Amino acid sequence: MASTLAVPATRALRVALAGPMTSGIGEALRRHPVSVTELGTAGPLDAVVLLPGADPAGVYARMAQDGHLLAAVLDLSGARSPRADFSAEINAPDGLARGLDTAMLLAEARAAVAPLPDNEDRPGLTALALSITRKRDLEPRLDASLPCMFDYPLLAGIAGPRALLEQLADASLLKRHFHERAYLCGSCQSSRMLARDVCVACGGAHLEQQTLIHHYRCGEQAPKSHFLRGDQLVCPKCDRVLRHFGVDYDAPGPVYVCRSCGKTAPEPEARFLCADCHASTRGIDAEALDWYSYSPTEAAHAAVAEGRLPHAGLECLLDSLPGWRTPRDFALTLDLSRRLHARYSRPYAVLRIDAQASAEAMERYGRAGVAQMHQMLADLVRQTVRETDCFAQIDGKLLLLLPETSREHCEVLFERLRTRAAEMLGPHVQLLAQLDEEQIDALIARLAR
Amino acid sequence: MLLEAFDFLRALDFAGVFTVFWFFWLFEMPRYCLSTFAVAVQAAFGRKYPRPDPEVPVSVLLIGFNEADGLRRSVMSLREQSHRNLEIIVVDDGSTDGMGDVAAAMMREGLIDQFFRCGTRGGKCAGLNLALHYCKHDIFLVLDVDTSFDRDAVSKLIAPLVADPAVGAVSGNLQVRNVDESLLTRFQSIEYYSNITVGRQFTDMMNWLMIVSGAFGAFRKQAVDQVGRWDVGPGDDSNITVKLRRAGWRIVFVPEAWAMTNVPATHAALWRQRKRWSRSLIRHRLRKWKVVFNPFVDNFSFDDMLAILMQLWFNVALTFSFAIYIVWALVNYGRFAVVVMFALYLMNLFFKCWEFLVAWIFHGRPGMWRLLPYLPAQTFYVGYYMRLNRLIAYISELVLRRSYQDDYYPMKVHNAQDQF
Repeated sequence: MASTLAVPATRALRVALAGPMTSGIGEALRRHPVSVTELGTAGPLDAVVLLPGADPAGVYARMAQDGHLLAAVLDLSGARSPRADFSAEINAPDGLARGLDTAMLLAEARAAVAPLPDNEDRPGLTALALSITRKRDLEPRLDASLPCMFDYPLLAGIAGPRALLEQLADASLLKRHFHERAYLCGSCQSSRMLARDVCVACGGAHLEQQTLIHHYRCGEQAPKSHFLRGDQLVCPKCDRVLRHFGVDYDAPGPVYVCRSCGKTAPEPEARFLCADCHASTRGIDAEALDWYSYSPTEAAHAAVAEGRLPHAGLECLLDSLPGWRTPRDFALTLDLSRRLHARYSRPYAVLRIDAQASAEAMERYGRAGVAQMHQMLADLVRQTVRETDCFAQIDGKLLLLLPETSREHCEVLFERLRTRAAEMLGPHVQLLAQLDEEQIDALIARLAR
Repeated sequence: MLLEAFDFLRALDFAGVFTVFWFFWLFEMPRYCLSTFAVAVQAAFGRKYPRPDPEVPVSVLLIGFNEADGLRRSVMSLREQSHRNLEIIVVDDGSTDGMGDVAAAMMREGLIDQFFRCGTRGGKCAGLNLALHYCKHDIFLVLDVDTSFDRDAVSKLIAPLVADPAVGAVSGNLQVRNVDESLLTRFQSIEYYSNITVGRQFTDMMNWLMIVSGAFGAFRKQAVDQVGRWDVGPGDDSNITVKLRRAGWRIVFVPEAWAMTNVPATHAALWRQRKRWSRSLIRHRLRKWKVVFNPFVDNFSFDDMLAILMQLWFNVALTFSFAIYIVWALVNYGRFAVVVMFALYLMNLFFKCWEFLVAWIFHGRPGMWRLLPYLPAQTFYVGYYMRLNRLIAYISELVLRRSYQDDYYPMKVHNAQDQF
């Protein structure tokens, strides 16, 4: 088997096989500089080869579980999985070689991608990285097996792909391109529905459309079928031949006769019949859902390179609260409080919360644990601050300005926060500190610069 | 003037009364006497039809052009009927005011059974013919969309059709709903009591009833199909009635079946409507159905001939004779003709009061007494205003055939219809 493999001599692809192994594939793999491993094995993975008999859905779920969703999927099963980066028949000449070429190109593209963090950013970063490394938009595909009727093949293995993509688009990491509009069942929200014209009265679909003819001269108006004699139109009332449209007669419109209930209407009603719950939804009541394909923005490229989504972490948890300030606004408010204190002895206090996950915390709790810790901190702040307090994140630290609060009162608050933090985060975590005046002066001076 | 008129009447001897007021004795007196006599006879000996089974299925044909405002009220009035088994069919005859949307919404609500929307206006007769094609039941009503009904109106109206298979159509009683809108609507209310409530009892009693009003009438489908359904109007309601009569079907008036309709409230609208009605009399009675005067045709009917003669007498002949009478009075009495005409007016007013009293006693509706003060003016309205309208309409139809240009029907139909 001739190979066009462009794998550098120094780099061997790590490939996992999915599906029943055959001697043929084993022999073919031995001719290429690859190291074969199994799915679920720790360590990096460059490609997954789907062999005949493989269960793609199970494979993608496993890849997601192991954090290997960026690995190339080489489908040699003949099933042409829509997620696959390369598809060929198992017996196709050069099939494996060309697949490994693709895997190598993707492996090189992945070099520009930071390692995926083990936190809440991972699904979003994975989606972005898949699009960027494949140089493909994240496009929906019609899939009648799904109630929503669309999936995103490139995101196979990621739960709730549409919601994730919408979040990323809202965060300006993806740009939407309209793809298709689906309608939702009013009962179960499925889009797997049969669209039909139905009788306005009984909802039955057994409708017959009839064209009406109006004979001007004698005033007869009846279905066209009553006028037809051979290929001529003859008035059933006065027996005259209708020769000229607009002079002898016209067609004032159609009429729909329901063969179920016998009622007639000038126009039917559009209704959807849900294939999943069998509920009927009127066309005008059916909620529309637009499906988009998504292309990554510059911000997405930056996020993938950096390995974190912007606005993630503590800041995005707190920036919707009324007391949230930008560092500059915080500095101005702090400066005013300090001046009021100097001139009129109005008390104020500043608390610092070390929100930046230290290496020790990261090691102890992992990224997911730190994310959880941020959430707890955000909850703590939300429960603690008053309407007059303000706070900002500066240098990874959360600063709380408490106007009209004496040092004694601040001590009480400090203790309460410390106790709550210990309860929530454990006794070993010491995140709180109260700033003295020198520290405040230094802070203002620094922010002023 | 009043005293002069009374003195003049007192001074006349028996022969003088007939000589001076020949018009009154030829035209007015028979009208008042015959109609009030008929009401008394009907009250005493009139046939009472048994109340029909409420499950007898009845179709209702509502044809409307720009009737978005009145459609719901009319349909709700029908759904309030004591006779429940109604199939309501609505035809929107090319409306531009959203009537179709109102009808479509009512169909979704289950208030209407069949609904047709004609993209272009075809006229009422085409709408009726269309609705009749889809009408499922042998008894059907033809109603104006702006008409509403007493709760037992449908039950009473269809009773003759259910009880007597020889009856082909039934005319219902009509009154004015917008009585208080203007002076003219009050006059028309009194006029409806006189011409419909009382007048049609006479024609019914004599088997001379020549019109089943398009606003409120019941028909037997078999009969209407037999005579070839509706022809292009105006005057399509009287035309179908004549066709039914000539096919041997009985036409009946039921004064107890009441419907109420809006009438024109302004001079312009009323003037136009009445000219249309009057022209159709010439068009149909004198032209289209002149065959009724031919005793050699197979279906010659003495009743039909008399019925049409009577209509022509009390409408066309009366109108022209009144004009002649005025000229005659001026020629013979000079300036004193004013006193003669006023005396004639007083005689008419006396009998008008008498007719009103009869209608009130036998078929009065609540509030009818409030019309009493308007009787003097209404007598003038009938005697001069309406007769002038008729005179103009008859002349324009006889000379210019104006009914063929009436905008009651669209131009495409004018150009194609049969001319008589």
